[in-house]
Amino acid sequence: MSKIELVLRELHRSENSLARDLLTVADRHRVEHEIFHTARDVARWSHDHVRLIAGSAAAHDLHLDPAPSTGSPALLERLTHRTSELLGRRPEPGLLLLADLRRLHRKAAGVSLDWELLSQAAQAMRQRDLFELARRCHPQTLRQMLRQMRWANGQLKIVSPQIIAS
Amino acid sequence: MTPPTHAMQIFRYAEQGSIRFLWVTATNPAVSMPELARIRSILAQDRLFLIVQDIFRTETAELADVVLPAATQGEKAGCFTNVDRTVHLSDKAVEPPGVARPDLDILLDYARRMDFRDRDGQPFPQWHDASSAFDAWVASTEGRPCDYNGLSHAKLRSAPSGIQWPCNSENPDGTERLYTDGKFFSAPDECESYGRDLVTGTAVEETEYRALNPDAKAVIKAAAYLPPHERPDPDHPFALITGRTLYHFHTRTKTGRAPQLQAAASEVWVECSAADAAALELREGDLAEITTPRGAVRARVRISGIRDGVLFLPFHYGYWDADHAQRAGHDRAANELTPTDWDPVSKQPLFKTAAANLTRIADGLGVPAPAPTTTGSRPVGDHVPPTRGGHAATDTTRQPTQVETP
Repeated sequence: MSKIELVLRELHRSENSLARDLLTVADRHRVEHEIFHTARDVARWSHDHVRLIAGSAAAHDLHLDPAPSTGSPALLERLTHRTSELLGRRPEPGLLLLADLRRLHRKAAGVSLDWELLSQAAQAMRQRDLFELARRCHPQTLRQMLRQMRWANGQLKIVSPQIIAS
Repeated sequence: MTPPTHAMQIFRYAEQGSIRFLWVTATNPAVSMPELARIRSILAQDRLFLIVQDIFRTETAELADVVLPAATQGEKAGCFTNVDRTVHLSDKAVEPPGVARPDLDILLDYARRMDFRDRDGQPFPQWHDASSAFDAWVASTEGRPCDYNGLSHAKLRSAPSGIQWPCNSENPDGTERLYTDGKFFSAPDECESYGRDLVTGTAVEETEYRALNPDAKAVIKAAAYLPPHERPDPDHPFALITGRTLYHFHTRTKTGRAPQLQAAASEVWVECSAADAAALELREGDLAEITTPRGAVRARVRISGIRDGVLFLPFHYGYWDADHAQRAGHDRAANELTPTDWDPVSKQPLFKTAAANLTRIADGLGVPAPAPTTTGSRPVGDHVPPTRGGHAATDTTRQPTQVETP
């Protein structure tokens, strides 16, 4: 496998993983309504990126699934929903939310570096189509990564005082 | 700095238990907020001490630990500012009834009894009535776009039509138009905020805003389409929107007690299109049930010009004047049905994106729905008697305006 395939695989994996984390965090904090809905809204961006990456990879005889991986099985999903609702009147899940937002921030930063890596690799190896993918998607996706990161940072700012001080 | 906590988040903190004391003034969340079963369960918690301060016994007051009766406009002095920047003084015309008191008096009395003090050990807040409170507000606006420094109760009393801010030494009579020089207040050192990401609601950082070089220019942002969080499906095939009628304000606390307005729109109704009504064998005035995953509302059907697949419910109708069955079943207020979801930027609840089902409950026996025949609820058929004001609405006698001289 060429190294550029590795880069594509890694990018595909990290976007999928970020989307899955966003959806898991949404489910885990279903009773935090703004977190729940916005995390799901911005997970769509990562799903779009997964599709684009798979489309470009196909031209390199690399099969990557264009459909986002669904992550946790349905049973587990229902369980986290239910747990979130049962714990909705208790303060403890607040600390877990802070940890989740911190992890999302770190993960989104990692994904943006993977895109940077693809952009550099495509230029060095004169892979015009991949360079196009990175050039076309990168500013947009980078902006979306940054927006995902800033969202995690902004929510942390908003919710932490009440969680820590209460 | 931590951003201010919006109402929806305050309710979340009360639900989760980190807020144990809530003081609601001049609003009625037990009817106006989304997902009312949730709101009631939050406000009814034993661990939450709830004070409700209002001019009538609202649905929210019914859930309170303490009710503080408040005075209304005309029973107290104070200023208000219109959305077109016009500042008005509203003087007291009559004494409030019973033990009701102006909101400001209640809050100041509370502050004194709690013995709040500022850093100099003086009673806090320093002001003691509407006029001194206004002066403190004026002082805080100096040099800001909304400069009130030329305003006082005395000055406003001499201007019965009000004065538009900014009002200061350069504009002693106020300012009718802003931006006459073609410059917006968008310079980074002048603007009120740097704005937000329209999808995530995250505040824009200063460096990011400065990079836009927005000096005197407007910032135009595109908002990409986001699908609604709750979309119609086979179980809930209709898009439900809730909203207003011309004849009522908010939860009808006042307009429901004004006979002409109450007569024009006396009871909740649901609007649906002629095609949807035909498919469900519904006729004008039939009783129907509207359900979402959160609850059910019963309302009589107005067949209106609304588009196919969409239902409309006015949100004004709560339970203070409901009949026994409506009270027991909690099936009159539109917000029984709405989801807890809000716009991340404005923090406004999303009242227009629920998915609902509609079923016929009973024959209306030819009596039309209690909806006005004017405005959006205009019926498609012409057999509904028109909404008319009658005698009371055309009364042109006026009370003389009371203008006190300073």
